[in-house]
Amino acid sequence: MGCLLWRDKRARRALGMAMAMILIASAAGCGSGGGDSAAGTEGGPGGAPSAEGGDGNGAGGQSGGKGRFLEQGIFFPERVSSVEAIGMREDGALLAIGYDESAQRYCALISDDLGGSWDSALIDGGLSGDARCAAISRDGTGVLLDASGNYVAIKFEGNPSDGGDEPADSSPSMDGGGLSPGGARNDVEFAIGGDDGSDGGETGGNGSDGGSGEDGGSDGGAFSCSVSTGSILLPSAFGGKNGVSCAAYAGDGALLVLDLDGEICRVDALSGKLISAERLKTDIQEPVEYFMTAGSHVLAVTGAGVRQMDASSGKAEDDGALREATEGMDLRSAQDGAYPIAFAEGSEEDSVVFACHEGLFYHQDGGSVCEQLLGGDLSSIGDGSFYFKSVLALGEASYLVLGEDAMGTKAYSYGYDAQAASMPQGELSVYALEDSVALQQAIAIFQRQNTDIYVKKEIGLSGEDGVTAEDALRSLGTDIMAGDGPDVLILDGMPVDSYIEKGILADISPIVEEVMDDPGEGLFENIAEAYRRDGKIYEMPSHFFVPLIVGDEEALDACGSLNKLADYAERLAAENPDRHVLMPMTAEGLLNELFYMDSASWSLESGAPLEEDVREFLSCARRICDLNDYEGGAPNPDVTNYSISGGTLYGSLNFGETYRFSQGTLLSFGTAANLDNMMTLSAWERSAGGDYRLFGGEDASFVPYVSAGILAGQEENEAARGFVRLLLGKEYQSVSRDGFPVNRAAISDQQRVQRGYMMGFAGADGEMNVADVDALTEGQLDRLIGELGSISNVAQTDRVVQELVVGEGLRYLLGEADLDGAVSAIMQKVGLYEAE
Amino acid sequence: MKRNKYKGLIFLLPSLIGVLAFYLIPFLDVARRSFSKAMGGGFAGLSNYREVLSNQAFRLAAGNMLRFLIVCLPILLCLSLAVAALLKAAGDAAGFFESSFLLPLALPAASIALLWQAAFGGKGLVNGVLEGLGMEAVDWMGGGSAFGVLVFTYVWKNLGYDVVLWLAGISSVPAELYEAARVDGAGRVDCFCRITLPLLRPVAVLTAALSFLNSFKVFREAYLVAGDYPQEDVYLLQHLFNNWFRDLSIDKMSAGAVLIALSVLVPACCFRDRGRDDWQGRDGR
Repeated sequence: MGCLLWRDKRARRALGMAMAMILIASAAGCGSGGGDSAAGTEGGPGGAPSAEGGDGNGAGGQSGGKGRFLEQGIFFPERVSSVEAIGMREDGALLAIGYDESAQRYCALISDDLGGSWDSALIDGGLSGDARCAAISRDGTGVLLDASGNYVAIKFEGNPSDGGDEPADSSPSMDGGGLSPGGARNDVEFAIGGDDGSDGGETGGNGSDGGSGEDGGSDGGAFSCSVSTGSILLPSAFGGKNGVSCAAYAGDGALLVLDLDGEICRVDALSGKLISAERLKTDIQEPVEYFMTAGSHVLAVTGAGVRQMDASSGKAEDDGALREATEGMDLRSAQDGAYPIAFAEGSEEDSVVFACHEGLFYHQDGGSVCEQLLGGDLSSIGDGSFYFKSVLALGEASYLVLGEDAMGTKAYSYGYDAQAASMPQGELSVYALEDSVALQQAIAIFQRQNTDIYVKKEIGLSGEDGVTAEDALRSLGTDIMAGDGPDVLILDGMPVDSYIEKGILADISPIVEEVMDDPGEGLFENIAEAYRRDGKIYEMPSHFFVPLIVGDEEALDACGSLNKLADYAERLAAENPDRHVLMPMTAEGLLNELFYMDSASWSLESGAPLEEDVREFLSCARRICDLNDYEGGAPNPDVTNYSISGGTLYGSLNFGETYRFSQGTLLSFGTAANLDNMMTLSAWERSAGGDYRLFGGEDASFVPYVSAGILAGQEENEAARGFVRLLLGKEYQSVSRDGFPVNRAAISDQQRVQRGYMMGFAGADGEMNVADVDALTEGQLDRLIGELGSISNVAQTDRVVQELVVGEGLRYLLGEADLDGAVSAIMQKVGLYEAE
Repeated sequence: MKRNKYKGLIFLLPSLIGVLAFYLIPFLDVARRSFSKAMGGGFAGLSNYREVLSNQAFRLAAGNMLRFLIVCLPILLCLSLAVAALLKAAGDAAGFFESSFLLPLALPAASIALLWQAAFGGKGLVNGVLEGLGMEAVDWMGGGSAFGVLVFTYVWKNLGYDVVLWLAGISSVPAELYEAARVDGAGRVDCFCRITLPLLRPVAVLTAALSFLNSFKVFREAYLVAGDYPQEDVYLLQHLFNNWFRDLSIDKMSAGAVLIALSVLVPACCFRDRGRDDWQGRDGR
């Protein structure tokens, strides 16, 4: 039969046509299939369609569909510096427990208009120390717990009076979501109850005068609370006293707390002075790091990922979809009771909603997928520095997220707008060789301010595909040549000089000067001027970090040059043969740090450093490296660059200081990256009678971070200009702590929100020591600003030169090449690079 | 006859379109860009050529490439011919060796780079052997020996391919010629020098042309072993073009590409004419 068919000419043609059609159809299928994702676009939670289809990461495609979740900031009264917990009572009132900065006490907050305005009341006494965690249940009960298990239980009763409060400023402001100066408050003092500690006094009413910060007094209004205090006695695996690290209310009203053994304990009612908690008999073996509840379910984060269990029995439940959706996320880092993910009960029974940096997700119990409602890249929660405290389903297709970033508590509500375009109509593409937390923060803020523009972040080195920086740059070059280049370039690691020479970058001096001349902003003029060429500015960093040396007067005298530093280090080693001079570092890490410190002092000839400078650099580096005499080498050889790691700028000096004070090393130098670094440095040095000084003395240098430029031809692109303006502006720079801000107002803002704390560390003798880390004083800040404002040299930032110097220098430090050979190789290769 | 001629053209048309679309037209665009500024497309005259010809890196790379060709081509052609002659003389027993010589050609460049790093690294196999023999370790890829390593790589990789070409040529020599020569008292050497070599001239032209073109591919190994900026003796034109592309120096890259294309095309055309003459000479024998 087959042979007959083959002999028939028409049949052969028909077969050929059919094959061709199949090929074309399959090719078309390949082309169109990429947009499907598990997120889907079918009915979403509470009847709201999912806003995110498209590419599977929540960004969605550029479809012309309508409907998406829109973000709004929620603002608390001005005096409330942090909010520990938020919940929704069954009658729809929002309840919160926060900290009143002006009264230095915790307070209860209530809002009956979904956060539009708040009534607040102070909670007097109750906890001897800082609260460790807080929780609010749907029946209007809240609890504040310290680390020892002491609690204050709060019963929210009634509602805020209609005229008793001024609306909080809910319009998007330059401060973003969070604690708005416009928030009004009416305070009521709670009296702690009788001696038995069981029943607190009841206080009722709230201010009706809409007072501006004054206690409203009790006038018999609707809002009232009662408080009680006591302690929760937690079982301990080791017989000692146990503590609390996390708490949440289950759907049946029981309080669940996490003890320090990583076990969840259940407290059925907070009554009595001493309440015993019972551990949930769960079959989940891994210790729980933190947990939240969603109705009758507990969502616990363990070392193995997210696990779901029943809140009453502790029995593990099927959590495949949740585990799959959260797989690969870094869920284990936490920050003061805020976490990388938050869970809550969805608007429908047995549903879970969770928020993380990837976005807002919805999961119906028993379902096979988690549906993405909102992409992190389209909202503030995509900011890598934002940590979550709570997520709440406010109703059908409406959610609230509470969390913390560097500037404090932030809360956002997300409502579904059926008329909004499913994706923003405009697009701004931002290209960077490497992703960074600082860039994510900038994009999140820009996205919040410009809901009609989608910021497309393109990263050359994703770390997932083996692409080298050279490959990424060639690919970028091809796009630029094809007229398909990005609008904004983050120029860190790029051949900026070559781009300027070719006319690829636009002059951004008007933007820089606008920020510089703005009386409410201001830039470090020395930083801006370091980038001016022929009156134009083509790139400008948003942040920078500086090499420093710390210690006594003798150490500070060694900061003049690398040679002096090496002399001093060798002298220390000779005088203290039984002690380590430096913290353990890889040779590569050390070379990179020394490169940041010394490269600005090199003389250049046709762009290439002089041979004697390179020779001195390598010989000093070798002398210092030889003092790095730890057996077995550095403890973490994966860390090759101590200043920048994993997209976060740390500043290496703190590592050195930690070793110096805890392990007794003799010398610490490196880079300081932000005011927090300076706080801890000040604390260390205050205890030792030391000080800090910029390395290089009068020729001190700075290392730029997140340098931005606009592609030529895009200078009239308002979105591109706006993004660069935002990078240099106070709002972004106040929040981002990756580097010292180039914005003068931002550095003052950062100092204003600094909070002191106590830092415990084990000394070299094993004894526990405590250091008070205080916020920088005005005097310290003025000194720092003065010093930062005096730096005019930019460290050598050419990635190729740094790689060549470090690469060849490493061979010398490891003894694989002699000094002459290493210097000769560097000079030859750098010479070639410059000759090209 | 005429109809058949047009039929042939129709069959050639797809490949002609491919060559036009992917080679000739882009090359014409490159030629145009070589007279333009990097960005904006303004006319630059011959300044790009002047800049390229005075560029130290270009001179070094072009010199290295020329030196590489002068050293490598004779070594490869002679060695592969010798091996082919030996294999032919060995007869059927040489089958295994024929295949094994082709093996390096089948290895991906990345694997070869790994192999070379393991062999010629600072603490690699070769240095291990040297130190075992009481000699000093050599910085094979960082010193003057880098060029030798590159030549060795090229010869090792392409030897099998050339051997196969030579073997094909040797096999095509009519056996009667050898028989007649032997009858006249010629020995093996006489047969090889007076019959085989003259008749291999067309194959020699083809083999030389292919080896010449293959020599430009050695960059892959050099790049994978030593990166963008290798020891200066193994800094080749492709390194330079790669780096120019990274820095978006399209103007210099275009001018350099035109110069290289001309310098490749001219000898290639000579080879082609010589080869055609040889084949015609052989046909007219």
